[in-house]
Amino acid sequence: MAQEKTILIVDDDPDIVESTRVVLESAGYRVMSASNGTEATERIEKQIPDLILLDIMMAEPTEGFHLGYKLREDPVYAHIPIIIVSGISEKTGFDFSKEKGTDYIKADEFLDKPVSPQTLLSKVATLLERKQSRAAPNEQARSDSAG
Amino acid sequence: MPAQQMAETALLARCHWLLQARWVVVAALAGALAANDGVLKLQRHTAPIWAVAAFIAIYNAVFTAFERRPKVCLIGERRGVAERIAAFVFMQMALDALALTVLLSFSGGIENPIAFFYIFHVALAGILLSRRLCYALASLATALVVAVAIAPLDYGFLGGVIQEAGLRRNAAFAASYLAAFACTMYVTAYVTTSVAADLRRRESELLSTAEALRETSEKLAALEEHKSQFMMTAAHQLKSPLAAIVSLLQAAGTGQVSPEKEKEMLARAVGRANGAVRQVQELLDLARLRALDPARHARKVLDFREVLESVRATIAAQADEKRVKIEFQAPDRAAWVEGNRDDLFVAVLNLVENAVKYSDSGGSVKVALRAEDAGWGLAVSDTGIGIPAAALPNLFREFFRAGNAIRRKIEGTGLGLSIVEQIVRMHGGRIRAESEENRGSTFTVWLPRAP
Repeated sequence: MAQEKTILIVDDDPDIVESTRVVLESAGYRVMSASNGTEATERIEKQIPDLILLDIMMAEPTEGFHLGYKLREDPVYAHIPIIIVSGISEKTGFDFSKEKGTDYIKADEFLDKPVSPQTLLSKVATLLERKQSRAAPNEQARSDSAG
Repeated sequence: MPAQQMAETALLARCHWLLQARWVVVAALAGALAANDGVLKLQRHTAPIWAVAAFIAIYNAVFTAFERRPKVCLIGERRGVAERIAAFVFMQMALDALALTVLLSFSGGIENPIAFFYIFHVALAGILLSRRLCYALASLATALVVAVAIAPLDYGFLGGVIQEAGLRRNAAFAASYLAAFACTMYVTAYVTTSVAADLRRRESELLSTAEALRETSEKLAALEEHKSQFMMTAAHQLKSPLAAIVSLLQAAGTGQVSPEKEKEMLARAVGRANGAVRQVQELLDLARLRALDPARHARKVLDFREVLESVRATIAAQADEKRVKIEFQAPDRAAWVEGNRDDLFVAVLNLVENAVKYSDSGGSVKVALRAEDAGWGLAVSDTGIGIPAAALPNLFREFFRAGNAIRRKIEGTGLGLSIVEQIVRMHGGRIRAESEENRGSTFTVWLPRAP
């Protein structure tokens, strides 16, 4: 298992945050959480997480998408893998594009709530591995043995 | 108006048909004349009849040329399009009548069987044009025939039979013939315009029925759209607590949490499940309100104080638990209203529950009923978080929730006030909300006194 990776959960539902935290911590991840876009930005500025679990509909219906969009635009944060975890799946056909008509944020993964612990852990692990191999292709072997 | 346009299109189509039919007449006339001149030799002097055929051909060509622009060529700018097309058709028919009269006078007079074309034209005018134009054509035909009958023209080239029984040789015969002709014209005009008017009336009835049907189906489609939007929002709202419950139970079930943590998570799950039950209850209230079954909305005269008493009993435990003080004030005498007890209970309970829900611990809620112009005023005030001014106008919309309520993570569907508003409206009452953020809100309901 990947150890000491930090994951940021952005969700305004404290029960979802809590249960996700329990699952992730039991797998050995460090967990930070934020209940809205502003709080999430503050957390990220303090410490860049290795992965973000992002809810879409918070106090503002598209708050999550705005945060995700902002992160993808910023070269410092653009590499952070984002998993959108939301009650509204990508299939609902909602158009989340910003006013200028750009694509809605390129999340690495969409998960529909509720997410089973197994699915969550396997998606998180896969994305962290992929990120690591992309950042350092030569260390592929080591990351494989670690995973 | 589509009905108007349909009438115009139909009239234009018939006008076109008339122009085409006239070419057939010209061809038939020319054919008959050619056969007579070449083989049959029934009549020696055909030159005037050839002239009539040419005349018909010429005016038909002119009308055909104008057919595509009947709006341009016609009199009366202020008239409607349909009226101008009708005038266009009438001009053709008047010329037809004139041509027919000239033709008759050179081919055997009124006894020639093609005199039937007068009847044909009058009938056609009755069907296509207005009553006024139809009678005008009947009068014109009669006048033309009378003119021919009394005109001092010599029909020297006509056949013997007609001259022997000729109209001018026997005044009584001529008079009765003309009277019969006039009668035929006017009776035809009367019958066809009556039948046509009846048909038009039915047609316009049909059209207005069709229009009403279209409007109804549009309304139904909008309602259907609203319903599916509603279902989608309701389903999403129910999905949130269910997703949280599943997540909590799954996390608790990983076996990696301490017993205390596990207990806490189960308690949270129960809390969310109760929230979901409340949401379902609200949806059921709303469904009951919308049910068309009149028995569900049966009304009777009741004492509004009894409704308040039921609400007081229901809310007490909830208020105690939250340490919110509730004070009820009601008049000493019965407050008669005509209404549905269950609906009114739901409305008042919703208001009082809201007041408790949005109050902080230690707050106070006041429910006061008093007589107010020809009815009863119920004021529910709290010292809670209040409602931002910007949210006030949207308060009674389905699923609307004020921003401060969402930020404070106070559970709710946004359906409660919409339900209250519908119930109050169904009872012929009014509802008003006043609020100051962080100071509290007051909801005032007015219901008419039972007659």
